Amino acid sequence: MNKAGQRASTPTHAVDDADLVLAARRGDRDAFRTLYERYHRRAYTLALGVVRSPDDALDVVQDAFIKAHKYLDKFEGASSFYTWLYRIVMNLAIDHLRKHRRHKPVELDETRLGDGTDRAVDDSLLPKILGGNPGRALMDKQIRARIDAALETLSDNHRAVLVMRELEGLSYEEMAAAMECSKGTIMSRLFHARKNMQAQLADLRGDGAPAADSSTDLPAAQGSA
Amino acid sequence: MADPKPTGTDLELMQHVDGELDEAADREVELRIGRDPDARAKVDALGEVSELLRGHLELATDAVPARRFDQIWREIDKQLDLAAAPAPAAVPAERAASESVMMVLPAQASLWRRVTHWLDRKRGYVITAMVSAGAVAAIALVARPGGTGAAPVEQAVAHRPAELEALDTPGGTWTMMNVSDEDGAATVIWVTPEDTVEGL
Repeated sequence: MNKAGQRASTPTHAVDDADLVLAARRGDRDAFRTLYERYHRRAYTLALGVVRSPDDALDVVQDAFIKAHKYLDKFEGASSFYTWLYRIVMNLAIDHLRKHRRHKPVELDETRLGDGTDRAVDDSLLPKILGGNPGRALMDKQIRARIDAALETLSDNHRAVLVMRELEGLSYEEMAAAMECSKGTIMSRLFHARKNMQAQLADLRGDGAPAADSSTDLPAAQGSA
Repeated sequence: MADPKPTGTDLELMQHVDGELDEAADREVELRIGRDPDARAKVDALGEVSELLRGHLELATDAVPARRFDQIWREIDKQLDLAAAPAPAAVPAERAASESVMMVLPAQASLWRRVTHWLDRKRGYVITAMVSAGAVAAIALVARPGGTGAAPVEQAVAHRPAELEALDTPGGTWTMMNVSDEDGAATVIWVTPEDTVEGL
């Protein structure tokens, strides 16, 4: 786990993914099914975070595995099979968003990113949300509904970046490559996505503290394209 | 790798949490977090959002019944089978030429249009065949038992209801058809010669 607690890399299995990939390339469908069994849930979680609809997420998973099988010969093994697969999942999920784009209000930071570099990020993160016990909070259906609603308020780009980061721990550079934009844009989107999530959930604070004070510690302008 | 940033910003705190600062900047942020409880709380809050989101999506994934993922696998399996199936072999030109004209024209084309299209392609055969068929028909009518007053050839052929007759010859099979539609009636001699080569 890294500082933010993202998942560690692929867990170890009796049969290595690389061996399964080799077997699948030779036409061994059972080997490919084993890969599916290992990763379909993770792929689904990732897709769901981006596309939001369970049925659409299942479609993305299905298409991703079909595509992965088609291009198994092109998988060189430089990264893990799952790293390769999640890129396919993300690309398909982002494509899905593009094809089914809904009209959403443009997020504040998007209006300032004309050249892809960060400009002033004019408010700050909240110091606390749920009194420091997210695991317990997730037991509450109402809180989960609020998380869903908060995710829904994010723009597609903000949500995609947030999910890539929080679920898979992608670096800014990897996300920039996946979304074909600058690192500065990724950083800005991520910052605002997190801040907006916090703001949406601020009234759930369990410690009776007043809602966030966002007037302090303004982040300065950044420029890292 | 990481871009150096001015210290003292929430953006930096986020970069620190994400492991995106270079070593020197990261050290400075660590120091700041150590002496500033508000910065510490903000870093904790970032972790909180991470955990909430991850936990929420994982619970949503757990809620999907296993059979739904099994269905997805079956669909993937089916699609892979389809992709692996060999494409249908192309029909050799000579075989196509000797087969029905239905292969050339769309199924919805009218009968008359298909016949005229076929006539265009087989004009040489048709002229020869029609002459031969006319001769055969005339001989058949004249030689008919008791047929002293033979009916005109056109009456014998064109005014009969549509029917098929076949004539096998050493060079192939000739099939005669009387066809009619809103455009009128016609006699068609359908020649299927052996070893036909398209265009000859």
